[in-house]
Amino acid sequence: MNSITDTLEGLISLEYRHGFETSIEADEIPKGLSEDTVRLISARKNEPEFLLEWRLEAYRRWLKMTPPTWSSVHYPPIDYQDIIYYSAPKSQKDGPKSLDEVDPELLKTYEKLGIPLHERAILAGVAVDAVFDSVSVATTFKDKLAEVGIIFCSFSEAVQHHPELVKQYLGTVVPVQDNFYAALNSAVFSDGSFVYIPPGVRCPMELSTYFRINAKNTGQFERTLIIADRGASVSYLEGCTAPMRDENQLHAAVVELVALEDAKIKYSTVQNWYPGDKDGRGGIYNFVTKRGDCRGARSHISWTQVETGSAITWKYPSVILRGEESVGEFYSVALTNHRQQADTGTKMIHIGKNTRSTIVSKGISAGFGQQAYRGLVRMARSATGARNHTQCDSLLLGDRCQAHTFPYIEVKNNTATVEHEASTSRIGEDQLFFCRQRGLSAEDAVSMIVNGFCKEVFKELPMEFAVEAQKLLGVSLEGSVG
Amino acid sequence: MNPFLAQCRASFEAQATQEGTVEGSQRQAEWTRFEALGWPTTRLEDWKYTALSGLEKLSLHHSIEPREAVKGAPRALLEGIPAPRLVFVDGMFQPDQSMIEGLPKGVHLRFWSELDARERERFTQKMAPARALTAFGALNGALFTEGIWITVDAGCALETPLHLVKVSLTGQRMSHGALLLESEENSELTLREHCLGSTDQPAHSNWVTAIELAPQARLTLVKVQQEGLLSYHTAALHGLQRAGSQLQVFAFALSGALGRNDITLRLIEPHAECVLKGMYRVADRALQDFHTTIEHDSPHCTSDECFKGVLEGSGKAVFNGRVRVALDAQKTSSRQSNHNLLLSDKAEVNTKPQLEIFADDVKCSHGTTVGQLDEEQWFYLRTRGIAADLARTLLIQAFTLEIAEAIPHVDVRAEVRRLLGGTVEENGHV
Repeated sequence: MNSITDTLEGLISLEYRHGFETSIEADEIPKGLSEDTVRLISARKNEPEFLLEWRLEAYRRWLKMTPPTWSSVHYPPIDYQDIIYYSAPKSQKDGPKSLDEVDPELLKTYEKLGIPLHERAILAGVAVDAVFDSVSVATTFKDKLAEVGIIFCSFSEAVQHHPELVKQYLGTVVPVQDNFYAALNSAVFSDGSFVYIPPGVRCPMELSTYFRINAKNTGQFERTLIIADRGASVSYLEGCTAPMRDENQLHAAVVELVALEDAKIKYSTVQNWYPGDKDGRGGIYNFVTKRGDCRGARSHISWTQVETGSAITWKYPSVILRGEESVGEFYSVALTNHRQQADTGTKMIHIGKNTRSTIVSKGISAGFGQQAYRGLVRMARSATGARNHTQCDSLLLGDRCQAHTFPYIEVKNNTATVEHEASTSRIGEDQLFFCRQRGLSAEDAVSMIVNGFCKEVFKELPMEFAVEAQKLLGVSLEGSVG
Repeated sequence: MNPFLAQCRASFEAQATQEGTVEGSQRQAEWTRFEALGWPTTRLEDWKYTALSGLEKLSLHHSIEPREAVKGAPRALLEGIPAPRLVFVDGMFQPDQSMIEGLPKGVHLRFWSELDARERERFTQKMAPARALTAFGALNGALFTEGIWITVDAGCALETPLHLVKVSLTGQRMSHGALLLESEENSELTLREHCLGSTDQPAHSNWVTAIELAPQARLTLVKVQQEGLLSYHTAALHGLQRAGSQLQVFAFALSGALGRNDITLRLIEPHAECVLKGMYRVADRALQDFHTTIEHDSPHCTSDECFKGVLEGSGKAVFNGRVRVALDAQKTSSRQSNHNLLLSDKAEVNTKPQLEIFADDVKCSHGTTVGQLDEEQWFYLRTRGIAADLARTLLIQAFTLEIAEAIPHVDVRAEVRRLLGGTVEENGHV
C-alpha cells in the first residue's frame, strides 16, 4: 500500500503547463467599479444606447444583491473595487482586420497553448474565436461560415453588426437579476462569442472559443450567446487557461444558449484555468452561469464539461426544457487536487410534455480537494411523461479530500419518472491488484482506472477535446495517486 | 406574531412562574433560543418545501394542569395494546391507563416531576442534542410538561416490546413531551411508539426523544403516526451510538395534516450499526416531511437507510436524507434509498439525498426514484383475473410492506403489517 501511496504522491507534484505570462502592452481602465466604469466600458466598445441601459440596470440591481453563501466553497470576501474590469491588448485597439495583423506575441501564446489558430486551424478544421483578457482577438473561418449564413464573431462585433439579434436574445435565458455574479457580468461584460445558426443549417465545422486571462488583477467577464434557429445544429467548444499568479483572479462568465424548434446545440468545455499552487495560493475563481433554453419542440441541448482547473469552480450548466419532447443532457468530469474546490452540477427544469434529460456526473477528488455535486431536477405540473436519469459518482484519492452530493428532486407530475443514483468510493485495492498483477505500473493502473471511470463523459466530447481531456486528467492528477 | 406563537408565549410565561428558578432559567434559555431561531418559514433551507401556514393560524391551548386533571383516553383506542405500556394523553402521563407491573427489574422509569435538581440538570443535558435539531426542539425545551427517563440495565434483555402510547385527546391543544432512553451495555429492548388521536379538531403534538446506546446495546424503535386528519405532528429524535451498538428505527407516517420528523443518528464509536427505515403515505392535502441525518463519526460503522412514499390526492412529501462521513471514519459502509409512488396528478414529492464525505476509504451510495405503479405488473395481475382495484392495492402493499418486513420483533412486525394493509385497503378505492 505504501508503495502505491508514494507513487501517487510522486505523480501529484506536476506543475501547471499553461502558467506562462505574455508581455503585451494592455489598454486597461483603472481599478474599481462604479456607474462610470460601466459607462466607460460601454463607451470603449462603442455600444448602442439599449445595451448601456441594460448594463446600468444590471449594475443597479447588482448593488442591491449580496454574494450567495449557500455553496460549500470557501474563499475570502472578494473586493470588487480591486479588480480591473476592462483590459485589452493595446495593439488590438481598433480590432484586427485579419490574422496577419494580430500581435505575433499573442499568436505565440496561442501556439504554446496548442490552439489550432491560423494555418493549424485549417488543418484542424476548427473555427476559433480566441478571447484574450477582455477582447476577442481573432475569429478564424468567419467568411467560410458566412457563406452558409452562420454568424460567428466576437460579442462586440455582434453588437455592432447584428444589434437586432443581440437585443432579441440577450438576457432572455439568464436575466440580469438571476444571481449575484450574473448581474455583475451583465454590468461589466467585456467580450465573448456570438453564434447564430440560421434555420435548417447544420454548422459544417466545430466552433470553438479559447479564453485566456493574461493581465494581472483583471477579471474576465465574458458573455456568450448561441442561438440555433429552427432545425439548425451546432457543436461548440470552449477551452480556458490562465497564467500562474499568487493572487486570485475572478472569472464570472455568462453563457446563454437558445434552441428553437428541432435545433440542436452541443456545448463542450475543457476548463483548465490556473488552479493555484499545491498550498492553495493563487488560482482562478471560476463563478459561471451557464444556461440553455430548449424553446422549441424536439430541441436538444447538451452540456459536456471537463473541469480540471480553477482554485474554485462554481457553476451549474442548466437546461430549461420548455419545448415538447425536448432533450437536455449534462455530462461532467470534475477533478479537484491540492486545495482546489468545486461546487458544480446542473439543473434540469422540465416544463414541456415528454421532455427527457440525462445527467452523468463524475467527480474525482485528490489531495485536499473538495468537491460537491449540486443538482436540481424539477418536474413541473405540466411535464407529462417527462423522464430523468441521474447518475453521480465520486472517486476519492487520498484521505484528506472530500466529496459531497446534494441532489434536489422536485416532482409535481405523476407521469414523470425520475431516477437518481450516486456512489462514493475510492479505487478498489482489488482493481489495483488486478492491474498490477498483469504487469501494469501503479501509475498506469490508476490512470487507467480513472480514465475508465470518466469514459462515459469523455465519449461525449468531440475527438480533439477528448484527447486533450484525457491528457489533462493525467497531468492534473500527478502526485495525487494513492 | 402569529396566533400559534402568541399562545406559546402566553403559555411559556404562565409556566415559568410556576417552577423553581433552575428550571425557570433552563426554560428561559430554550425560549430565547427559540426566538433567536425564528419561526420556520420556507425561506429557510431546512423548511424549503414545508410551509407551516396551517399551523401558525391555529390558536392552540397548552395545558399545564397536573396529570389528574387530564381525563383518560377512550378505552377503544387503547384496546389491543398489550402490557407493558405507558400511556400519555395530551402530553401528560396516565398512570391509571398505563400497565408497567410486568417490567423486569432491569428497566427503570423516572418522571420529570420526581427528579431532584441535579437529575433534572442531567436530563436536560442529555436532551439537549435532540432539542437542538429544530426550532420545535427549542420550543419543547421551553414548554414541555412531561419528561420520562427510561434506563435499561446492562445485560437486561426484554422479550416483550414496551409500548409507548401518545394520544391527542382534546382538540385545539398542543402537547410537548420529552423522552430520554438510555440502554446500558449488552441490553436489548424493543420500543413500540403509538401516536394516536381521537379528535377531529386540530391538535399539535411536539415530542423530543433522545437515545443513548452503550457498547453492544441493541434497541429497536417502531413508531407509527396515526393521528387525526387535522393533526400536526413535529418530532425530533437524536440517537447516540457507542461501540458495537445496534439501533434500528422504523417510522411510519400514515395520517395527519402535517408531519415533520427530524431524525439524527450519530455513530460515535467503531462497529456501531444503524438501520433507519420509514414509510410515509399522504392523501388529500396532507404533508409528511422526513429530515434524517446519519453521522459517521467513527471508523468501521455501518448504516442502512430506506424510505418509501405513497402519494395520493394533493398530498405532498419531503425527504431530506443526509449522510455525513467524518474525516478518519474509514471503512464506513453506508446505503441510502428513497422511493416514491406518485398515484395522483396533484401529488408532489421533493427529495434530496445528500452525501457529505470527508474520508476516502468508504463505500457510500444512495438511490432515489419517483414513479408510478408498473403497468406491466398491473397487467400481469389483471390477466390472472384480479380486479383492477385489488391489483392496485396489491402492488401498493408489495411496495410498502418491504419496510415492515424488516422489523425484527415478530409480533410488532405482524401488527405493523396489519396496519399497513388496513390503510391501503381503506384508501384503495380513492
